[in-house]
Amino acid sequence: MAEEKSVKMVIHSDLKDVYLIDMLIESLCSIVHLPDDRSFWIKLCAVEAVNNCIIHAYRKETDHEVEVIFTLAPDRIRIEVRDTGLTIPEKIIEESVDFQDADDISEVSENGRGIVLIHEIMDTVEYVRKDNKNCLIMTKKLF
Amino acid sequence: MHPEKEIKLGIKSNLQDVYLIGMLVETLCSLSSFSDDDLYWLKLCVIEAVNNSILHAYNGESGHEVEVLFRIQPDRVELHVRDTGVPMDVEAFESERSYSEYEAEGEVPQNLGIPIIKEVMDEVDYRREDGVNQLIMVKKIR
Repeated sequence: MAEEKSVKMVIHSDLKDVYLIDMLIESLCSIVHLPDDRSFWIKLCAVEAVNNCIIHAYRKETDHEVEVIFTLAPDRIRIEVRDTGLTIPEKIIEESVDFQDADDISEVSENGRGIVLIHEIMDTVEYVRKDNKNCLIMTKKLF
Repeated sequence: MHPEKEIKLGIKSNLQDVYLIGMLVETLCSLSSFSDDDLYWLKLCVIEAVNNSILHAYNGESGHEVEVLFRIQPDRVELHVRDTGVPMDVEAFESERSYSEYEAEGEVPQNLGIPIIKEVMDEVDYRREDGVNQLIMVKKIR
């Protein structure tokens, strides 16, 4: 695969629809024949990120949109999850990085577990605001 | 299944990326009870419609957006293929025959896309609204 391939998926901010993203990410991961456990964890990160948008950025209001952009590069998968809701405070993002070394998950507040998990599983994680959207950008190397 | 589920899929107008839409539509259709045969034709229709947007609306130029709205209801699947390129001639679209109508006359259509879509889908409509071209296809779940 010489070039990047990218596809965007947009759902309503309804927790009941997140499984659609789960299904589609699994399908997209099959393009690169990842081991099952690796696709499982990548999918889980995408789902956690989308759940965070719905629960925290949109406070469970269902009439918003969550965008997931899946990009397949020759050496990595990149998943960008975007919302237009409340921005995650920097403190939570910073704490989630510190908590990666926590021995016990109970040390991590329930609200921050998703993002800790994402930091643990993905190779790079970035949270930025662009075009008036909050964007959580995660990458995982293929090899 | 929830009474109605909706998801938008989008790619840039590169023919090499159209298979991604095909894959995702196939995955989403697994939520319904389409036969393998119906599923094959449904996927083909979406691919044809997206190809049309890229080749005709965008004249083969890459970098534009093609969006597919997938809506599933208990009795039907709706697919809206959207682009912002050059619109189709609505009269020509409406008068285009289905594949079997061509066949009945012993003819072969020059472009297969729309005749196949009209053959496979239960409802087909084309419209331009607010600068967006939209091909709407409906397949009933039997």
